[in-house]
Amino acid sequence: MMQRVLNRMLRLSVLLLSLLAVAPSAWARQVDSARIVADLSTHTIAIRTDFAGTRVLLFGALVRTEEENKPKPGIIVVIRGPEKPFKIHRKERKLGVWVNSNERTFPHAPGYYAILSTGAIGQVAPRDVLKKAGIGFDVLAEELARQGEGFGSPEEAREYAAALIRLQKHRRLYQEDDKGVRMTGRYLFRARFDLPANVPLGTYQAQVFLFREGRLLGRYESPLTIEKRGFEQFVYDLAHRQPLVYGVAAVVIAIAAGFAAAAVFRKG
Amino acid sequence: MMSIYLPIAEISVNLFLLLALGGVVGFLSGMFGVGGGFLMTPLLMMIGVPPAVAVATEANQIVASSASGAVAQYRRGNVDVKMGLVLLVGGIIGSVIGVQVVKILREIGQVDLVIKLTYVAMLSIIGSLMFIESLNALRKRKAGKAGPARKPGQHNWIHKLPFRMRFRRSKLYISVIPPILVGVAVGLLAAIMGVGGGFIMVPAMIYMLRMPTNVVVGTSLFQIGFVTINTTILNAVQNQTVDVILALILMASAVIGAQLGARVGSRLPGEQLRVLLALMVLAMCAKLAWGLVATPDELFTFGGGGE
Repeated sequence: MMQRVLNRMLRLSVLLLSLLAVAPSAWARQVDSARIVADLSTHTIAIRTDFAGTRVLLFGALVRTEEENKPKPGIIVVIRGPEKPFKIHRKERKLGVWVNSNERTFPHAPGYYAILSTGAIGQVAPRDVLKKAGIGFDVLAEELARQGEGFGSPEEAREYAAALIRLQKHRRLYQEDDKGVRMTGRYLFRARFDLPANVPLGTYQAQVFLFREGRLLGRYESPLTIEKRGFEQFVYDLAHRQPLVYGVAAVVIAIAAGFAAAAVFRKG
Repeated sequence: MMSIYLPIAEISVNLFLLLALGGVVGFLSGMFGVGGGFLMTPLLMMIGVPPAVAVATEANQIVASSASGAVAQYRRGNVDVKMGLVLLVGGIIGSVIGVQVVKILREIGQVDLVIKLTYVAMLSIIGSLMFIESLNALRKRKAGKAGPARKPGQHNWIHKLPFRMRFRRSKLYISVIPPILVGVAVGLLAAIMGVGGGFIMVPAMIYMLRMPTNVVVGTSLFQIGFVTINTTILNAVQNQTVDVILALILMASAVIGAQLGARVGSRLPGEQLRVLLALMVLAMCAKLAWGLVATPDELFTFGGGGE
């Protein structure tokens, strides 16, 4: 693991150095040509029997820039998981009992959403810039409120969108950390984010945004796939593709286990 | 801290926690002759297993513990096979209906509520009945009288129904309608609540059918075994909610627990055991009821299907 991280760091450094070597020192002084490159410590996460969540590192560098004498850049990393529909109920007291009612649906909410940054995102960039780039829980809440189905009023839509984000944060599937991106020197940075054990399967996108003085200078995307492997994959596939075989197998295993135990305890 | 990832539940759980849960619930189930599902299913939901997976997987696990228990009871001659088959006919009907009911409830997002309400209703009735009955029995014994001996001549309305059948092992000659209805109820519960249904069947056999206590546990395990086989396969095919890995872990621990429990149980007097079981049932019931009426911290919740 560490070895792979180091290898990638090394590759990235070579990339960075070659880009710096190409860049002429007198390059357009007025235009901030800084761009960003990044990579993840892994692009595939295999869920096996011992999976208990994992931590992924993202590291990258500023390129095409002379950082000396320039204001410090702001970096925001957004990791977005596969989208799926979410149904949300608001509980209501009926005959003294709290009942799920008022069902609303968000057809495409991200199953995972993490924001990491070099500081509070409101300080990194102004609201309209963040909104245009689609960054932050405020923007996500607005996006959700627009796509929600069956809402009586915009206020209600916002209330449900906020509830979805709150519930997902509680399950650690939505996260934010404004100290999550750390600069190492002037050019290199790294970020890390946690994927909890209940993380949804599918394709993720890690987006890295580079800001300076509130302006978006560059962005970079890197994919991440989370999938089941090995025995976990086998069990899951069998259950969904051959459900009858799976069901009968489950029963046979159970009976065998029961009889085996009875036999053991009879002797013992 | 050794975690294990459950492929169908899609969560990661501490292995030792699961083993401990299975062992303790198995012990109680062996001691009382109940499936233990009514304790296990809510516990699984509490540690984060989705309700549908908890219910279906628990049915699969009960197959193992009841098969093991039923074999042990059969060897001791404590299974009334004929009565068990009659109960099973009802059980199959009930579980087929129950799986459909769950499917519909899940679509309208009310499956959790119905499961919990059913639990509260069932547990409060059964719990209080058993508590009163067993306390009375204890008091009579302390007063020096014999226990509630079965009087062969005693009849109630149940014995006036048609389609009578002779059950030699239970020393009964009664209509098949009550046992079939008991079976249907138990099958419904197996599908909806993820329980074997022993906690309703055992009292029904004792107080309603008036079966002798020694065949009650074995016969109920016999019926539960086959009903849960049916429920497991139905759930696997219709909902893909049976988690074999979770079931295996629970089986391994519960089967051992059940065997130990059966040994301890056979050395303890029945009335005391029933007081204990009644108290446990009432405690679970109170906890569930409180959860339904107390104002929740979070008014919003994810609906079924979207989770």
